[in-house]
Amino acid sequence: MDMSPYRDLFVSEARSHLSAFGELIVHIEKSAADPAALDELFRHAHSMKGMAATMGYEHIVALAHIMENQLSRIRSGEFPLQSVIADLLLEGSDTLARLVAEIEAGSSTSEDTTGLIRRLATFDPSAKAPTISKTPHEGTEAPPEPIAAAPHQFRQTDSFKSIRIRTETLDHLVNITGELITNRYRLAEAIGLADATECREPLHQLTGLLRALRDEVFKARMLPFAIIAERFPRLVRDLARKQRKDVDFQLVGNEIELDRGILEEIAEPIIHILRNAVDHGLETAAERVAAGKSAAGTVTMTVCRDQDHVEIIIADDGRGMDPERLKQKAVERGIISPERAAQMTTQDAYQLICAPGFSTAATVTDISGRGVGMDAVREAVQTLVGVLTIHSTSGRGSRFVMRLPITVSIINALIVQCGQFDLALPLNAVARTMELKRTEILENAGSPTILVDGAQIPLRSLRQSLGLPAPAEAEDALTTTVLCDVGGTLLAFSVDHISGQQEIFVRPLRSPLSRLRGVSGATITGDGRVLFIVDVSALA
Amino acid sequence: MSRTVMIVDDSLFMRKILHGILVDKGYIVSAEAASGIEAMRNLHGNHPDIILLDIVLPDSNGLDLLESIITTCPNTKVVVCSSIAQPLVISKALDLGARAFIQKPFTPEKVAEALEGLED
Repeated sequence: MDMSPYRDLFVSEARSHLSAFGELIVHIEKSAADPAALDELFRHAHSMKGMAATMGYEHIVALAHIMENQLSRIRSGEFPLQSVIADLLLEGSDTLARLVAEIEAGSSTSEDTTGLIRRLATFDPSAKAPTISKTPHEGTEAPPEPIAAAPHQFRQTDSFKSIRIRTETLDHLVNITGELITNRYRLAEAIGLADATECREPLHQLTGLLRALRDEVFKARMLPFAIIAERFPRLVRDLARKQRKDVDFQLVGNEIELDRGILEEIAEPIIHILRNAVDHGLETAAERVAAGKSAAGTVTMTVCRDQDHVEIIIADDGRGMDPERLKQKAVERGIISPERAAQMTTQDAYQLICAPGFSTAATVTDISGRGVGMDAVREAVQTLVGVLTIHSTSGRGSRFVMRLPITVSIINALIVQCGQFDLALPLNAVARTMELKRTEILENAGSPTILVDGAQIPLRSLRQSLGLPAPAEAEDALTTTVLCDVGGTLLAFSVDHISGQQEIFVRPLRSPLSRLRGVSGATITGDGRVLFIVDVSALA
Repeated sequence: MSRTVMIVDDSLFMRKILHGILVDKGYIVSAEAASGIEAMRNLHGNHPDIILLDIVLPDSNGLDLLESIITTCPNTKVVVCSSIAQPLVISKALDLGARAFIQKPFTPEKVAEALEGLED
């Protein structure tokens, strides 16, 4: 029988088995008393073996078979699934994943699995495991704690009501929808100029239909957070093992949906924050016990929806950050002046870790050193028109909040005028708009400030912040001001005029325009002008 | 007249392969089910001539399911299809009323042979 037509199906199904397999091992390792999850784990290994046998992939059969055997012993209660056998099984599933990738690529097998198969086959549960003891004081291997874990849920079986679409097709749909919205504004402007009243009704209809189209297109692009989160428990587990720390990782809100494009961009930054949390944030068990904390550290990741936004919150209960030390370090590195450091609020001091050049080789370890730094994390969040906020309490832990729009490309913005330029301020960064009387603008150490709810907020000119020429001496009695919220820090910008609110299709800027400070993208207005999108957080 | 078959297997991959073999051999695949619940739901008002049943399913033990199927539609012939080749499991399935056992991995011939061997 010619099996080649079934190869793609084999690859995709094998992948989903392996991904679920890895996820389950981490789950079971934490909550030994979950027989349903053990059954499912066994079923994944069993299915892998059966499928591979049908396809004639003997090397996969051999490895999956020995994994299935050991799982069968665990299932019958012969020994628990603890770290050593969990490591072996995870190594097995990683190896299987590579073998599956080779099959997909059509290349021949280069990997020798006999060593791993032998190690799995000769695994001795009675041998002393080099694990981190849960109770470091007693020095004896404590029995696994019966953690009251949520009962394992089975995945839904696949439905024939859905079809697969290439992601490029969905990207094109977003682009076309964005262009349609831009063109609707052009049409509306032309209709207004021509005073063509008979066109008003169809235009109104078009507006409604475009909104429905936009919503449907975005809905089609939404994926649950779980898509990227599947690997996080495993990642934290492996990092913790490497660091010899005991970490309890909790993930809430896996089902919250986000745009595929955002999920794709945000995975790496999240991994970096998780790495930092385990590597730098959490103390060692001994340090924790000395500080009167539980030996095991906790890292929680919470995803929640707030209207048009999603917040991803990563918190640890580790040592936290010391704002004074951060300021001192930033002054030493020449990132800020001592004067600026003296004025800085605690909240602002935490943001310093995102300044380019803040972390140095001395603090970069094998674990966190890879990949992106916190400056890149902030940049990634800003590119998504999101906001990153950092909170910390010395000795109690740190909390990183990423507030992101749930969709990409099309955002609501406040349109303001500065000289000859029209600028768009993403609505998620705008707290409110105000008309200020001259008497409401105060002087504080030579800088204009205003009082908002009793707090002094610096007032800046958006023109000056963007390097535009200052306006002629203002004769207006009122100063039009936009109050912006940059990750919890309020900042007021004076503008010439507020033109209104508009839905805009964000287009990225190419070099050299992409290097403009304070500008994150552009859009084309109804009358064909280019409107720059202001990145308020870069002006903070 | 062609005989109708329902395939019960949690693997889409396995269902597609079995589907290909069955259609090729002149059977009509009247339904596919990925779980025990789905299989029982499909049996409402639709009793196929033959059911190809996998033993390891996400929501139920295939042997328990086998019992429910035989109670629900005694005229349907159930063929157990699994890679679990323990003699105890096979004899238990046959005791419960399964008409044949196909060992995975199978060849199209083995599947055809098992189905053709079913007596009416």
